[in-house]
Amino acid sequence: MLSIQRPDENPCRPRHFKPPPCAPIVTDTAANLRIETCRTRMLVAAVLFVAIFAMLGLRLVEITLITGASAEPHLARAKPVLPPPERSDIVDRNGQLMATTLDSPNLYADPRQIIDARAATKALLTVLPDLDAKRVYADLTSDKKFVYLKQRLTPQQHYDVNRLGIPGLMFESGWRRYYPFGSLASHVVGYTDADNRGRTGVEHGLNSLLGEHQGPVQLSLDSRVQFVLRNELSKVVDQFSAKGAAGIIMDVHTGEVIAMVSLPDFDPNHPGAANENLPPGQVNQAFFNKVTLGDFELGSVFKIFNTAMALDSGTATLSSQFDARNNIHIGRFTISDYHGKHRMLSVPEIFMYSSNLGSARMAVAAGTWRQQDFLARLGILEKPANFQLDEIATPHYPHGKAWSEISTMTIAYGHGIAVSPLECVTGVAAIVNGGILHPATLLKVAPDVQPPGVRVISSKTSEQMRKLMRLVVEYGTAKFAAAPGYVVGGKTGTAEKNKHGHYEETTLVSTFIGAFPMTDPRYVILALVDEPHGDKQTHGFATAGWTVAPATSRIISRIAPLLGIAPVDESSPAVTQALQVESLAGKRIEDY
Amino acid sequence: MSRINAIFWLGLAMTACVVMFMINYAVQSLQDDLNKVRKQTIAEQLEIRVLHAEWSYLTQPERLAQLNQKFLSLTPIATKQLQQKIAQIPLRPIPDPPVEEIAAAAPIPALAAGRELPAANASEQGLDALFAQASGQAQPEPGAPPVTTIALDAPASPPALPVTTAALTTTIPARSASPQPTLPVTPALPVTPALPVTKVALTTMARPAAATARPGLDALFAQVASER
Repeated sequence: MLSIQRPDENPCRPRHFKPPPCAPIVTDTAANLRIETCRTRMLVAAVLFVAIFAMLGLRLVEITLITGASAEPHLARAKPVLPPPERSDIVDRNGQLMATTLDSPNLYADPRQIIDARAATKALLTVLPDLDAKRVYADLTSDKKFVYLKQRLTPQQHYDVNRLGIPGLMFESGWRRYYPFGSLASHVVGYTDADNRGRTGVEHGLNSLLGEHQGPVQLSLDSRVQFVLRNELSKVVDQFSAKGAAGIIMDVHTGEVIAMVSLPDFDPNHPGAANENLPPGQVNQAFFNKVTLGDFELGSVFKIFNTAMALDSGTATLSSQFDARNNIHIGRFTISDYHGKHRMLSVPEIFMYSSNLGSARMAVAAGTWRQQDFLARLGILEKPANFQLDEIATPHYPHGKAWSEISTMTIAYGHGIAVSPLECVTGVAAIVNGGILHPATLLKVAPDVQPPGVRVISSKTSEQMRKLMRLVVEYGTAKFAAAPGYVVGGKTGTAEKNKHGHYEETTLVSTFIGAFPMTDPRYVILALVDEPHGDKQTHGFATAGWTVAPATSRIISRIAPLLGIAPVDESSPAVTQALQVESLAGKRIEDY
Repeated sequence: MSRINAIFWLGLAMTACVVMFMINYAVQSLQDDLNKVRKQTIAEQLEIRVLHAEWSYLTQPERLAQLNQKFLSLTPIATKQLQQKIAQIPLRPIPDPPVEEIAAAAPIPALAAGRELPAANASEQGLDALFAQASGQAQPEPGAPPVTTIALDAPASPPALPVTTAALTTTIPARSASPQPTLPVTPALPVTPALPVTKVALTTMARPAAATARPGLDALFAQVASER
């Protein structure tokens, strides 16, 4: 350390003079350095603070003055209130709710908090009478921390239990699907599992759409029409002690399915209940949607396609005659008529009297390739694409070379080919609506939207087919299907079921497919009954003309006013002339 | 000076603190309110969902059908009930006119030369307009028999007229008998298509309120009553 000369040690200074106090001049460089470091640090800290405060100040100005009005979003962040975990509702074409998600809490208890288990059990049983008193009491007196008392409370039960005010009873929120219409449209709407994922029906087929929170999904179904169809079909099932029934009603101009019923059905609110009384391992028929998943040999209903094919390809005209005198023996098969006329029959007669022989000869005259081509054009040989249900049957028919002449003959009258009623209806809709095939859909088509469609037959063939179908109801096999005023036309089909490789006469599938009003068809209806048994009222008959045709008549009379179809006078010249088959004009038509 | 300065700044800082805390608490309570309202909204929305579901459940066609069976016994609409044109609706049969009253009203055919109303438009014009028209013409003309004014509206179809008069004679005494006249017997209304105007004239009388409001008609009725 250097010795420094202090100012007061100046020898020359006056004695009374004291220099002003001042910092000692530090010459120590290390000390200097340390002080410098401190100064710098303080400066940095000060700058930092100034910067932070300036930022805060600016932010304050910004929030209060600049974005004052839109400060709301910051508030929303304060405490989030979660919206319910939503799955879109399903509504019918009139906006009636068919499926919705509701909070349905589970009731649980913490037994340690229950003061008087006996009183609590008693009180609980007053509002939830279906609880087992013994079990509840045992649960409430156990030393567990958590016991479920009841799952899926209804809003009313929730309220009632809450009102009891018993400490120790608690609710666990749970979102569940409800189906207010119960089993009305169980196969169309379907149901969900415990995690609200669709299992069947539209719930499954449109699972992703339902999860998109885009408001309710509107189906093409009309719940009123659906009710009528289901109601009448269940009467048929009861009357003929049948195994089941299926029905579908479709708008011919849009392909919208207005109603779709398959019996037996189930309650989607309790899908498990349908399986409870079944022996283990057996699949419940109630979950089987006959309309889309059922493969049926629909029988004579196919004569609609066969006749349309022959007329459209020009291999037959309405005045062509075909031989229906003798049974056809081909290979080990014999083709015969149910009510044979044993004479030459014209095309309208073949159709009206449902002659298998005539139809087979008509198909042979047209040729196998025309038949294949025609059915393929109608989409009958493939699964319908883009349909909203995943429960879709693959049609069964002979592939490749297996489609022999015998196949051609049997397919002409609906044997040897099995399709779902849905496909059949889609095809028939195209045949009666003027020849445009619209794919079937379960979603409502807005009134101003032109649904996609392809022409499959000429409008002239379509008109001829309408006349022929009207003939069947007027004079043929489906007289009971007539609904006065609504000009019903259609075709019956009674097929024997192929069980274990051979046809059984006693197990039938009776089908009627019709359209109305025949002057300008708007709806196609199919009613099918599975294994009906004739009763006294029908003289033991279980054929379509006796089973489903009368039901169709009742259905049409009930739904036509709902669908806005005005009745007409069927005997008025305007109607009769429009549906007159020229080749039969002036002839006396023999009754079936 | 520096002390005052210090007190000023300290005071300012404290005020700022207090104000800030007050605002903070106000904001917190507002947030609580907001959350409460939000929760309530969601609860209400859920309730609405439940109500929607319940409405759907209660109006399901099957239940409505059962209720109908129990209380109303309505049946599906029959085809004959669905008529589209007025012409398709059958007319109510005309009751046989009582003979002696026709005789009593014998002078009326002479007044048949009335003006014709647009009969076909009767329903479209609205009854009110017709009331006004009827009452306007019902102003008593001095000297003319009071029944004339009503008969004026009748179209010139002589065979129909006796019915008109019959109806008139049946209604008018009822009116003169009591100050609050009973409504004229409906079956007396002639519903022949040829006579819509007559019907209108009668309907005017069938409305006591409309009639009393118009002194002209009242005077007319009184006159008719006194003449009998």
